[in-house]
Amino acid sequence: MVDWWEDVWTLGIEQGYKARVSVNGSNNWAESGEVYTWAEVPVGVNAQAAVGDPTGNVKFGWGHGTNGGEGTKYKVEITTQAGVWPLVGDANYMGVETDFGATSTGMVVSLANRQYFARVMALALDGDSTHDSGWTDGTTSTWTAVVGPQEVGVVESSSTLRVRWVGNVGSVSNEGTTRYELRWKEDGAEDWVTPFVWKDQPPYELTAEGLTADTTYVMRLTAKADVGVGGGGGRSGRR
Amino acid sequence: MTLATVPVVVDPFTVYTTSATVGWDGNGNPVDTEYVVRMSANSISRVRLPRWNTRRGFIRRRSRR
Repeated sequence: MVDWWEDVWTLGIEQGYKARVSVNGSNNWAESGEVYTWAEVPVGVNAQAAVGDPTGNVKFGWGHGTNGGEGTKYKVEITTQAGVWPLVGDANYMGVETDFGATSTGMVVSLANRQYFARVMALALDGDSTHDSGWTDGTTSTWTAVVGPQEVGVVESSSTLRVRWVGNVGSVSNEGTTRYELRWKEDGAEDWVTPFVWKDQPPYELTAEGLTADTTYVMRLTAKADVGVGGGGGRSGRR
Repeated sequence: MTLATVPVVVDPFTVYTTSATVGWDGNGNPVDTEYVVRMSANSISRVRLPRWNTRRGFIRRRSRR
């Protein structure tokens, strides 16, 4: 049987420590190795890219909270479906883990006109995942901007103008239920013809019907943002 | 009077988010031996050498293992 003494110390979160023990009055110290206190949940997760940011990025930030400081690593997950982690359908950006000099990160995403949620955890300095902080609540979100109609083309006939387009720029596509609206009027007319036509599923094609032969029309095709400002696209056609 | 032996610190000691328990073996010293415990509060930087602070603690609990 071995005698064993203990002394409890109050310490800072996510910091490195060593202990020394000596018989009182002696200068012969026994020294421990360095250990690290565990991580606490970071605070203040916020969307740093505004709703409708046109760059194709979502950007989230957070605070160290009570964690030690610059050396703390954070793990970030982003999803398009609240409460479902990690990201479903776009594996390239899930489970990113970075040593952030600043407490924020940005990610390029592939779905335009879509809501993204983020959650963050602080990783324990000792590398033991059981000492990580746990996640923030994952309710912080932002929206990517809608992409305006691309590669717009018009097929003419004597009484119709059929408009075709695509809803992506490179690998960045509008979310699948993005609504597109097509309006038109005779060139020089003040008011748009009503009712207009719209579509929210591919293939992306809408037709202005009942037109007058040999007449110039102005057409406006718009992708509607679910939140924020819509992306426009205009086109003139001569029927 | 014989000299006290150097205690043996078990490495690593137990830590949580805001507290740590430092334990050591008396290494043959009498049970009433008084010890001094110091804790380093070094920077979070893993490359900076620890700087021992001036806090001292005395035995609060004794157990057998």
